[in-house]
Amino acid sequence: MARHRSRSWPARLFAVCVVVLLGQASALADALSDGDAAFERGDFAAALELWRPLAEAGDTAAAFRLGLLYDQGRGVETSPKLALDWWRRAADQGYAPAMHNVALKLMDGTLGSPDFAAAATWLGRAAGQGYARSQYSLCKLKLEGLGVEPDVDGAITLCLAAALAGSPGAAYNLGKMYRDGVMGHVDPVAAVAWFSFAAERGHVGAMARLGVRLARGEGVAADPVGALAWLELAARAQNEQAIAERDRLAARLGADAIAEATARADAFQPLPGLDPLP
Amino acid sequence: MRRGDLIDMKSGSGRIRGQAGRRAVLAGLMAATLPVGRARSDEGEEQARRLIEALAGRALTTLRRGDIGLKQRESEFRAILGDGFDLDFIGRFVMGRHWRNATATQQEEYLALFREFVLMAYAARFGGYQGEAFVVVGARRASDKDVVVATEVTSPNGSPIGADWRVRVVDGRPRIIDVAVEGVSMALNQRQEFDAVVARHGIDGLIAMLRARVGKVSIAAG
Repeated sequence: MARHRSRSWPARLFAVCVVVLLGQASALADALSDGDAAFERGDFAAALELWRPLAEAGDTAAAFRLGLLYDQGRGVETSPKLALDWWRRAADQGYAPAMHNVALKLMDGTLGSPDFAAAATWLGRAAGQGYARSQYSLCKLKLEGLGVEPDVDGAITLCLAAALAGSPGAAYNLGKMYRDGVMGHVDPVAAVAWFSFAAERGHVGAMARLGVRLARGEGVAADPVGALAWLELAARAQNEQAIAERDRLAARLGADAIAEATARADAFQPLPGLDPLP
Repeated sequence: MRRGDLIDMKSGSGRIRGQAGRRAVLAGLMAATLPVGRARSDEGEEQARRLIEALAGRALTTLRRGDIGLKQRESEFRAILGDGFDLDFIGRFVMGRHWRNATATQQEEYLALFREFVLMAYAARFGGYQGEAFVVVGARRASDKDVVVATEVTSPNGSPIGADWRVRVVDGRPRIIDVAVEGVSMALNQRQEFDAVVARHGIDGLIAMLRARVGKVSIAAG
């Protein structure tokens, strides 16, 4: 015989509330992802309609998305100010991608002269949450002394954290730091290791640097075919140094070596990581 | 127009330019890239006109494909734009007198970011196609080296916007080196803007500004 369990009314009420709230959360998630699908179709007006009520109700992911529409002028008139306002709403609630975009908006020059100091503050908050893109951006500001005092040690710490999270740009900059010895000593082996890390993740500048080092045997055993493959990849992305170095190296190599390097370049698939921006 | 954009497809403040403008609207309705108002022209003018027509044709083919998403469409656009524009030439021009003062590393970083910025801005403009039509209205020699190809871009709800493409033969290939929207040169506009940023924040500040323009988190990554 089935055993009936009786529940107290507060437990029943709680269960009902959970079901209702979960239902609402699921509807909100649907509107967000429906908006994403509309955006991917290029139907920005539909995306705007789906996201706006959510954003106005305080949803950080939706506010973040509205900011993108205004920043890029998709489905709306471009408005750097509205982009900043929507990103600020989400950023004030601790949403790291929005904090990052607030920082970048403040220094992209579309709201007047770049404000690197204010940007550095926002980047510091997102970096403190472990957000790799912001760690990398703040690393660059500290290296260049833009909006903050120049701070090589702080920059290395940030770029290291970002690189280990898969940022090709951060890894490339670590390679440059070891190459140039900004921390007090030059380390060609570490430079090659970081250039390689970044190149494997699709960073064009790192491909060019790695190719040059492999060609010269600098910080790594010389490997002309590997060098030519990396230079070829960087040259295909219009890197001028790589085009010149590739042509010089190819002139010294035989047809077999060139064919092998070209095949390697054709077969290249970047390792997963963050966007390999310059 | 948004500062920094080379062309804004939705700024709808254009004016209809007489016969050519009305023809542009008609041709736009036919969704074609018909060259109209063909005048006597030299070989360079023909070459420049063919470049713009070919690029527009490739762009329209991409835009009309219903089987690909926004990301792939923008990626194809980037390839078309990369073929058509001499972005390194434009980048150097826009940096003006500061180019010579930049280190080799700064020059490389700047050009890579500038290239990415232009491709991203254009791809975003064109990738979300809203039914705009693009018509070549003529080509004229602007100097010994340059031909300007006049076009009009018509959106379904707006007046045609004039866009003039300055074409120069670089390394044997005709390439676009500037766009003037409603008579305003984007390269000159940007050169003034960049000059002010370098004056205040140095070359590293200009590079950081461009990095901020291309480095914002997108929806997929957000």
